[in-house]
Amino acid sequence: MSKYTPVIGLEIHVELNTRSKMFCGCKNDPFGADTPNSHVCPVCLGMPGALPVPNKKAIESTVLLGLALGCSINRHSKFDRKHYRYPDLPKGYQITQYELPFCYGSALHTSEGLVRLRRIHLEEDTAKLLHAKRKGEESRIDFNRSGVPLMELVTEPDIHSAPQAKEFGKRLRAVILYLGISDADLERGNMRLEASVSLRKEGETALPSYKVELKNINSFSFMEKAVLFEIKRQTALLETGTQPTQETRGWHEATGETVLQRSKENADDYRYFPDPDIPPIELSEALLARLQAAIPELPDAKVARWKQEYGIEERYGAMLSDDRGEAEKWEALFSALKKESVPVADFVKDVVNKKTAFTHTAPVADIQKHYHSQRAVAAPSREKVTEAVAAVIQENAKAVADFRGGNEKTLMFLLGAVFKKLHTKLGADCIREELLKALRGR
Amino acid sequence: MLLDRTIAELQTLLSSKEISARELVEEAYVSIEKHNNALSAFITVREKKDALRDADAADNSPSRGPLSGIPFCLKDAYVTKDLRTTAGSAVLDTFIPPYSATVAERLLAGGAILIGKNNMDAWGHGSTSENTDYGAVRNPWNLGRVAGGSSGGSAAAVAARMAAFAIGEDTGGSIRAPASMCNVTGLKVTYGRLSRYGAIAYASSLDTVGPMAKSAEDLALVLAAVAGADPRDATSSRREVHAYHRLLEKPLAGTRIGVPKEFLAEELSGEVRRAVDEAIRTYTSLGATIISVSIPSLSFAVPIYYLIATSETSSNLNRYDGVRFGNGRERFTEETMRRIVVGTYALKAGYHDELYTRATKGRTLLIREFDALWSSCDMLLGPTMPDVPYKLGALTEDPVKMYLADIFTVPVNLTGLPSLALPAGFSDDNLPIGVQLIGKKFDEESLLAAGAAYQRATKWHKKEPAL
Amino acid sequence: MRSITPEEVQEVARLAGLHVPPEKLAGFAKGITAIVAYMEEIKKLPVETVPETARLTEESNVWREDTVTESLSQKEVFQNGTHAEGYFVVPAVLKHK
Repeated sequence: MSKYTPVIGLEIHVELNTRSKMFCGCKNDPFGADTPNSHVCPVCLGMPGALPVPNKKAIESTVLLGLALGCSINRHSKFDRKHYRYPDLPKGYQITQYELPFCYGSALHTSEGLVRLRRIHLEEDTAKLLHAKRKGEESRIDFNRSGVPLMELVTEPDIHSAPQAKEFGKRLRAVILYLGISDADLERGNMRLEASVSLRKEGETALPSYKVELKNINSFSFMEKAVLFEIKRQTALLETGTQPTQETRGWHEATGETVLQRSKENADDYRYFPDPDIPPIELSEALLARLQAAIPELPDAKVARWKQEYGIEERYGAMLSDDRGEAEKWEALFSALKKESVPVADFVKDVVNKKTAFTHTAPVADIQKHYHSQRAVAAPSREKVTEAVAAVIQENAKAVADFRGGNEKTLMFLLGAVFKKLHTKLGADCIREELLKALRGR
Repeated sequence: MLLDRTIAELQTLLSSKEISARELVEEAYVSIEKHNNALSAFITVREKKDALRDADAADNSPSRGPLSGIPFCLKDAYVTKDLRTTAGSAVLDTFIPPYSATVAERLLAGGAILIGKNNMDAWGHGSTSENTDYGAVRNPWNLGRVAGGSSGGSAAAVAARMAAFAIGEDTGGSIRAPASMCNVTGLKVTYGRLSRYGAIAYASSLDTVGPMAKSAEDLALVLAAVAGADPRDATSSRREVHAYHRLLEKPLAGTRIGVPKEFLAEELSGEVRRAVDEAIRTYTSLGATIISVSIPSLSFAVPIYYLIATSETSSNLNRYDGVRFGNGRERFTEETMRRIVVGTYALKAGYHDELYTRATKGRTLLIREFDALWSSCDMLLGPTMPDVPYKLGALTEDPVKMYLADIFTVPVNLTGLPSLALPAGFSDDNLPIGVQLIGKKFDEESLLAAGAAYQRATKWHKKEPAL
Repeated sequence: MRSITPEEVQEVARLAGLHVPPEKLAGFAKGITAIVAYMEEIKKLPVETVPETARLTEESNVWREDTVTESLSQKEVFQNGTHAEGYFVVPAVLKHK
């Protein structure tokens, strides 16, 4: 990049997959409904006299995500009213959280650095407005989506590249899927991305005095493209001495550019005040403890553990662990393969690079045969390996003592010695395993 | 007339088959035919044949509750399934709700007979029932005077024997003001005592649902039948509901009744003052001790109330856009538009803190001042209105003047306390004057017992308008 | 005392989806000014250290279990409002965000 650093923040909306809506018992299934306006009631239609009653599961799911991401939780929390008038907002206000979001703080790790989370809060979704095709025609409204629980996650503007924005989105999505709280399907609109993009002079620390919001992005690749385009567009403007206008733009895939949607000269005045119809929420220690305990092993932790246990490279592990169910199936296979001394790391590398047709459904025996037959020519037998390991341990008493004393680094030295003895590194996984077994006396 | 009797008396006669529910309903419709044109107490009257059918069902029902076969009416702020509900406004002139308010459902489940929907100040916006698109409600005691508001139609209907009881709604005095102006008894409950589900919202932190009838005894029966938690109203109280109608004999001896000195200020008309003094004497003779107390911030209650109420109503009325139901917003009355604009202004960035937020802090002050009184008092006594029923049009020219008439009622809504409005006398012109008993939170039973005792010792509530 | 101009009043009305007819605006604005001026009495209240009361309910943690309950029938949904082919319809001109 020239002399400008991108300053990017993300606002991500996630529809929760609760059975019922946020403030009423209507079915939460806007995408799957047979007919429009079939999952509606006085509450989500905003009819006179109707009152909201919060969905406990939605609250718990939001707090669960916060805990999984290491956020601080507002034990005392509430819902607020956010006012604006639009046909897809039946009450003329949205019930959301303004001052006391359920979760705040923490950060998500990306390969390009930490991205801080500002907040995660819970609100209700709007109805779906279907715009007329011709000017002057009517618009149509389907309230099946009105009142669906919606989580909003806002980051600090810590992102500084388009690929990093994409990576953040994907990592977040992986955690959400692991927790099982949403289908997070961008095409179906149950995960929606918005990026705010601005540029500041390299070296400056102050935030730019403008930002451009990118909306209507329904895939990660579109987001990456949109952000890239926006960075180029703003750079060009700044280089002519013009500050980009504060506005909202949408991504237009057909032309490959962001397009003005509307100007945002002034901040909207939403006239927030606490919703008197909903009593405050007091989250107990017991509830938080229960939710904390319900967090499964998350993708990052799994990938790290796979590296440790199976020697699988992290970037390969990440590719197989996006889906929790799939990852569990893979791991069952890894475990079985390991028992049979099949080199799991090599196998995974082949899977990812599509050099093997085997998947986790293939019988272990077949895979084992393949890998052992492949290596059979040159890979040392188990007997030979055990022999070599025993010899190395005997010849390198000090290094062994170091290792047993806690110095894990000597493992590499000892392993190298074994390879030397065997005159090969083939079957490295099994060799390493045997060496470790012998060193730990197991 | 049969409808001169108490609900308990009617139930005894119904149970023994001395009378039928059909007769009661017929009587109600005769009153309506005779007097509704003059009074405008109803916006929608049910088809008589439908009410009679319900009456027959009640008469033939094997199980009877205390309200079986008893005719009642609802302020038109309560949605009723398949029966037009307007909230007194042309915006909802065509609205046919597909659902009913909880209070309506509970009454109908108990066998009570719905006669119709009462006229009111649109959306609850008023103290005289003149801010209505359906013709101002007239006072049954003098057709040139207002019936009070916003539940004016309900009060007039009870006074004119068009029903045995009504359900009104009190946000800033809207049950107590018309009750006092029409010589009926009305109860503003503790906030949350009765479900608000289906009550078209005026101000969500102030609205209460409450009964109006000819006596405290009647109110106790109705309250016991409809109070209690509702899963559809998250603010409804989960506290136990008592059998209020069985707790009315509690003797008054030793009860400490506080009279806030700010309630006897200069604004009070001489005639109202005399009625209050008379009530104080009656309570003293019943064995109560009268104590002078103070609510120092009382003079701020009206601006605090109106800032909060207009803010909340500007929010609650945002949903009326004529798309899913009703007509467009251009049909709001000028008074309603004023309240929406003032409320929007109070919540606006730049004014939000000094107006809305400040008012909510003032509310806390008032709550604290009332809380402090309960160490020395069991309940409070005072006027409901500063003056006798107003002439039609007297207050409508000047909104602030209208708001100031609520000086004694709004503090009770701001603090969430219960209050019972009791007929307490008449002016020289034979216009009704009422007083109110204000109680501790959820202490409706003490108020109703004190009200019943007062009504055993006085006859004001038995007087009938000469229609 | 603050004076609220008719323009300001019309702008606030617009935020609330209202429109005051031009011939009534001056009178309406006067009424608003008078009301707000009266409300400003509360500036005299000593509330610097007093917390807000936003709601009166004494309850907390009132919520529902995540179970599906019956929705309205199509007949009930459309017994009010303007609708066509299963949708509510709004004139395109009403849209402005």
